[in-house]
Amino acid sequence: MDRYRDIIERMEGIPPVRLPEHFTETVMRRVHAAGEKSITVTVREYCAHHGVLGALRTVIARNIEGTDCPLSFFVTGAFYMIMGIVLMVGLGEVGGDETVVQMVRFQTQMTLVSSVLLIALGVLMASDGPASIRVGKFGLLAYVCLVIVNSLVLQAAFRISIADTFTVIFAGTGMMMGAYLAVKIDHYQRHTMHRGA
Amino acid sequence: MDSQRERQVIKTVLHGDRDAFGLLVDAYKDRIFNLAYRMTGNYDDASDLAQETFIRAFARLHRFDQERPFFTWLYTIGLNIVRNHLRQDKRQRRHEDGTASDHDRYDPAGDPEHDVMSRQTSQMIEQCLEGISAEMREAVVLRFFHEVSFDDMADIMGISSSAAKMRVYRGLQRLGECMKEREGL
Repeated sequence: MDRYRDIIERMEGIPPVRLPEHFTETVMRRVHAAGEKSITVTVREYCAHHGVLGALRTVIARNIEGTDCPLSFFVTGAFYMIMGIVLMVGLGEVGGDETVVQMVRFQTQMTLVSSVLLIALGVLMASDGPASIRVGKFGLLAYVCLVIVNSLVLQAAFRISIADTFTVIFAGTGMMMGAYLAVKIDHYQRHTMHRGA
Repeated sequence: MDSQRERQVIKTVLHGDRDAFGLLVDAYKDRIFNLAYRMTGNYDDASDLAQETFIRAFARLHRFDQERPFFTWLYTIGLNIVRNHLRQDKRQRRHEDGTASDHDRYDPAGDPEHDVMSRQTSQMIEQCLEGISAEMREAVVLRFFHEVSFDDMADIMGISSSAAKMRVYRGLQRLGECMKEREGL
């Protein structure tokens, strides 16, 4: 920055611009006019200070504003975690063709990896806030890649028609979750930029 | 106004005393107006945008997280309004057609000779600011016209501190190039 010391000093030396006269009065007139027109302002003011209603409003507002983005990652990660555990227990004794069995077991690993990835992203975003949005986007991209790779592997491994349906459903669900999380990240980013604005 | 007093005023407003909001307007009107002016370069637009910032802040005050500093929240609102305005008004008029002259708009401080030099510098910097992207402009304006810390800038602009530093540095680079060019003429 020292290279630009001269420019910085010149900028800092520029005096502030004088405000138009009666600025505060004009704003306050508009504030009163806006308040009188809108019944929602009164309702909001009431809700903001009345226990259950206030809490309910906060939950709804957070959902609308996208501040629940880390929570969405936790929930999706938890879903995969449960699914992974069910697959791990349920497919423990599965038999048949060795390649197919390996592919089926591979699903358990993929599900658990997705779960850990999503929960880790949720933790990161909850703790680091806006600074981790970029990492969240890369993580989400990694998750989507996992879903695509998994569906391609499944497609290649199973040569029966019912498997195609299963693959499409599995990949489609994964992609839909990815899209949902992408929307959540986008809202979260907008929210942090527009925080309350 | 210190932050404790600010919180009290915000609580008072939220409890229905709208007049108390005037205290917040008085405390921040100069900064918000100057932010809008430095971003748009247009006096009348800056006045409208600053008013809009306070109206929106009032309407959304119930959403304000009182654990955070009020000024960063207000600046975020102000910047969002300015960004929307700049997007809508692509021409980004710098030469305004308002009623007051430039001389009337600056605070009358110092000797007249200094005023003339200051106005010339100010004009050149304003013209160079016009030439850089809105993102860099807001970083430079926040840092050097408003003395906002990099952490607060990150909070206001929704980016990391290092990204804020980078924007400031690149903004200065562009300004330096522009000023060198103009002074060389």
